[in-house]
Amino acid sequence: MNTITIARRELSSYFRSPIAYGVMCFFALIVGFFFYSAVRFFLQQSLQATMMGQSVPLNVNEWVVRNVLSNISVVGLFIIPMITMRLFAEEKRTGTIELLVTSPLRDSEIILGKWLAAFILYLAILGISVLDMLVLFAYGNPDWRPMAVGYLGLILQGGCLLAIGAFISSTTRNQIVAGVATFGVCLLLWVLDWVSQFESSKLFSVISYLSVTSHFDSFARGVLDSKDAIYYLSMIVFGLFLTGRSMESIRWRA
Amino acid sequence: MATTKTHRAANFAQAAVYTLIVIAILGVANFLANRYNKSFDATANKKYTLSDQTAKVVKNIQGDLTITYWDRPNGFPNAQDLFDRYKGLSPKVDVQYKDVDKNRTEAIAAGVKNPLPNIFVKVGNKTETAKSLTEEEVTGAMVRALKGGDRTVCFTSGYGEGSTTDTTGGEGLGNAKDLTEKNNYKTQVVPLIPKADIPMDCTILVVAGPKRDYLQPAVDAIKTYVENGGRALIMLDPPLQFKTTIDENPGLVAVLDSWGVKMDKDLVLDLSGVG
Repeated sequence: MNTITIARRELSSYFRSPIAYGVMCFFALIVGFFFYSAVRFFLQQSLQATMMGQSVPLNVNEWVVRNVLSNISVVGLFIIPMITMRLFAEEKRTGTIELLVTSPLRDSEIILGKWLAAFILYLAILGISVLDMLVLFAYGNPDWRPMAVGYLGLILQGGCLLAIGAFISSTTRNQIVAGVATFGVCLLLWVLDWVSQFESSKLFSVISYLSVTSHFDSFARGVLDSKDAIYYLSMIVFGLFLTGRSMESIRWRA
Repeated sequence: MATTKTHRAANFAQAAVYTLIVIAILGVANFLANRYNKSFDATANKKYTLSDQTAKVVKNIQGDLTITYWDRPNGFPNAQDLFDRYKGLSPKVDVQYKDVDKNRTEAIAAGVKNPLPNIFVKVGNKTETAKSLTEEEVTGAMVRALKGGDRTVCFTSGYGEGSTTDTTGGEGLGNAKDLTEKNNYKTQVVPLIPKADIPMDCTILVVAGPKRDYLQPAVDAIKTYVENGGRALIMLDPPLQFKTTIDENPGLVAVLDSWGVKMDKDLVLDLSGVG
């Protein structure tokens, strides 16, 4: 119950500041552009295929949905630092964190409440992209099941990065530092894949496994792999656990 | 002051130990999840699911299975789409992506040839080549490596049997031949005229509707092949004297009879005018 109260308070502070609206606008603009490009390319290719005499229509899930969802997963790396940077850093800067840690609330309730609020905001942002997808349903016949799996992947990836962002935010009192550091970590978790994706040594396999975006590939295709879901859930647990340790340290370092 | 420092150090150590324990638990969970991955393919036609036959082949492999994919890096993501599904079937599957430009000497030693990509499938000590990046080819190479050689379907010819180059349907065997090859068999035409000699490396001999009577040497060749352990699929049309003549083929019918196989001369008449 306390978790819900904290989540509600956090959410209202998001929507009272320009952060939520700014991030939503930024997201709608970028994703809209990606969607437009993907649809335009799809139409060009369809036209070409028809002219070449290909009778089987191109798959809209393959050509549009998969590409747009992959792009959204990368955009997520940029917007998540904006969502999480203030979670704990703001409380630390204003000094209210001391009030929170000395209140009868448990650390887990505070952390889960704040993470939940950030997660709900992320879902609301993600919801904007569903409007783009509805256009596909209005004019085409996409398969909703792979699309749903893709969105599940985005939700899990978002949850994982938000947990990491929450931890980073809990380590500093400066929002900018928290934002930049979260962005750096997100970027690192993305590019890890570039150097190690096709290497076969054990070390590179482990490095590639740590990459957030490599686990999203199968979701984007419409395939739910248990290993990818477990990776994201593990990262959520680990991020929140570290946030808990960081909160605890406020007490023993005081 | 000293007490505070000790207190802090103890708390720090405790947090570090907790963190290491959590990392270990999550590490093990992820290791197991990676090793025993379960996939759910939500696409309508199960586009990203390998066939049951492939799953059976991969799961029955006893030793290690290594797929080496030689190409330029821009071809790797496409290959990964397919090979990740093979990796998902068994932890014994290892996939190596090799850049031909970076590993030129190794590529020459491995016998990489144009056009790219080259796909080598190694099961135990035996390596086979898959001709293209398709499930049929990759699994076919695995089967060949496992069975230790090619499997050949031999079609007899010379007595009016269906032609393997005729793809127009009806009596032509062209489509059947293509389908057989897609299922990882090699095909070969075995002429029974002028000399009837059936190679024993035929996995199966197909006698597909000869129109004329087999001469005794041809009958003897089939008999010898089957009685020496060969397998045969014999399809005889009922004898007819209508438009085209189909002989009775008494020699072959007698051999079948000696094996306890009775050929009936039944006809199915389609009076609908559609067929």
